[in-house]
Amino acid sequence: MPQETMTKMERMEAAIKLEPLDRIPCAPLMDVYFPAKYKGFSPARAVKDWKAGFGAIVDVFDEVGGWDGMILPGYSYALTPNLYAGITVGKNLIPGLDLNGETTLQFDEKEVLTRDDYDDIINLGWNGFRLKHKDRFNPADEEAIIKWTRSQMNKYKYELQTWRDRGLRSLCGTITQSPLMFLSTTRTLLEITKDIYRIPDKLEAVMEAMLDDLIQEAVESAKMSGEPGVMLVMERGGCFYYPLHIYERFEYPHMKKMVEAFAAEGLITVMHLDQDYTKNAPYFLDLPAKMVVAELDGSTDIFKAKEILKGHICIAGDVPAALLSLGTPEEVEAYCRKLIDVVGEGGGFILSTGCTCPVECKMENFRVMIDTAKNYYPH
Amino acid sequence: MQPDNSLADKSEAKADVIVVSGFLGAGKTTLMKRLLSSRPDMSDTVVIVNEFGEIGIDASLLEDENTEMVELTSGCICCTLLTDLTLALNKVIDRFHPRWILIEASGVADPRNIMAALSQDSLTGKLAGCRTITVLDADCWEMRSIFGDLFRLQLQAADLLLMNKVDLLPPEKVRTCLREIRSALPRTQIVPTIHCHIDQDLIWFQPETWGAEIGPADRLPVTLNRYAELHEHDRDEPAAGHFVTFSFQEDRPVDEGCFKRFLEALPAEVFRVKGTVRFPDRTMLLNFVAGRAEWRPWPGEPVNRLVFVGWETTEENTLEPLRPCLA
Repeated sequence: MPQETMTKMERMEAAIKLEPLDRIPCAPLMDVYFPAKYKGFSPARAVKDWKAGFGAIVDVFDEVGGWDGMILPGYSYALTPNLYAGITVGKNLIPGLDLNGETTLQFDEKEVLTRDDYDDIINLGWNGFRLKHKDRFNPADEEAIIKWTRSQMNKYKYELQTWRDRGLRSLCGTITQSPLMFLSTTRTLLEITKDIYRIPDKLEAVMEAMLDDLIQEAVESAKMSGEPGVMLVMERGGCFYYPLHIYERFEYPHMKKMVEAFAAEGLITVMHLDQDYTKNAPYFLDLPAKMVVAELDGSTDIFKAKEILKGHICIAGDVPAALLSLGTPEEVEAYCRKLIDVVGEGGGFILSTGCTCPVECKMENFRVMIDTAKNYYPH
Repeated sequence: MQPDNSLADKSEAKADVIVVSGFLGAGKTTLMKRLLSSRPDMSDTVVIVNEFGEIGIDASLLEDENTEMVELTSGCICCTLLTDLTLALNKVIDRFHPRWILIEASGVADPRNIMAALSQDSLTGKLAGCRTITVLDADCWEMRSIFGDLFRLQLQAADLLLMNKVDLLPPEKVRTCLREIRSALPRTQIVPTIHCHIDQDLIWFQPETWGAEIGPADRLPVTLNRYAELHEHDRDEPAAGHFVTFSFQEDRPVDEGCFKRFLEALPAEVFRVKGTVRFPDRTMLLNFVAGRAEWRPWPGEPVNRLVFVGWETTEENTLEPLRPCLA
């Protein structure tokens, strides 16, 4: 067992800054569903009863003897107290409301934005567009919307403080998406792909028009929450969905501007990279060094990513959901050791779940992942 | 469909899996609906649906057919597909012992994850085989240069590819697309469709029982007539009149080498030929789909009786090279 000489926070900080470590830190991406299931209550209750749901995450943390950091603190949103911040475009299907109570939350991918909206976005920006079309996306009265944003931020701060009280921090003080990700989920993947093909110039203009507002809102909310990091969700831009020439035009320039703007404000960017980004990894060498975490979900070749990004940015990941759910503790331990051996060499690595810890995760597998980080460090 | 624990021998039977794959909006659900209404008794079939932003199968359709449906709720969370599908497969097999399992993959599902789920140790000995049918929106083919790995993987996974919505393309483009796709996927059966109308024999085909199912000689035209009827229906719809069906009947035997060369040289637009072929020494049943021919001995009447299905082709041009093969 390695001798620990760093606090949890120091260990996480050192991993992000590519500095020497006493051991590899572990920071799973936790939402509420696995902890809720483990504690014996339904996804519907977990979503409805935030205190119980967040409490379940904390209980799991305590039960396994803790870990080193959170990627996100829980499942609230760090929203600024602005009307536009509460006008969410797109809808989640909620267990117990839109779905049966035993299932987990799903994004409802519907064409809520149309091509007809593009001119308004170009002319008004993202926040102006949302304000103009407020009643279409959120018909609640303005006071109620702002009250809701405040309550979300308060919950987010409570979650952050809960972890600070336990000696750890969350990497992300807020969460946002790249313009492509936003548009892909609100236009639908199919329609945005047709837009890329048929009206590329206009789409590019829309993305440019969204950018400043997305950056400003993320910076503002991260500063309000008090945690200097932003999760930038980018599932839809990688090579799984689009070839590199599309990535170079419709995803990379915008995400680069966002990451650079966050870095200029002292904010770390956690790039939440669902799906395969192996071919995209070389582009990350142009992002600000030691200010980015590439969070991988098991689809990207993490070993190849390490070869490419070693000495430039930190990598987090990527114990696959299927391994945590279907594998044995021995298999989980073997994979975690391999990650620590290879991706952990020279630091710059955070052992984490590949995407969110799955609801079907076996507790013994989860525990092994945490324990392997604590007990195994060959470097 | 209720759990049936009384038939112990059912638990020994293995299930055949049909995976319906394809990008968002290609027509997968339309095909699923056709499959579910294609057989009089679907009580031996379980449906697994991986929803993702599409209007799903009407549950009442399944109730009518006495078919069990399992919804995977990870439609937008691709990283959990393998887990969810593996658990669902084990559950439905252990509970219902189905003969058939239809899986409608989400439009963003990585086919490798589906194959990985079907290959899990926990399913060893429970599955007989798997066939992947990919539905392609023909209109998306011209956009292929902007699609990433997912699109390619879905096409490559196909045993049978339905080039769907051909009615939305100009007829000359259909021919070009068909040839390009055939060239890109030389080992895949490719069939143009409108609203996923397809001869159900191509879907439910079971090689090991084919011979046992051969019936009287007049059975074949009935099946093929049904196919023609489907496309007759298509003719009611705009721009749908480009499917062509015609038959070839001749008592004289054909030279085997000549006939096989004729088949190999058929253009991509002629995607289906079915019926009996009389060679000098025997008669065979031919099932030709999009460049691939399957042959079975034919114990019935020694005659050439073939039906051709194609897109914008003519009987005269298609059959002309066949005539010199006649003795």
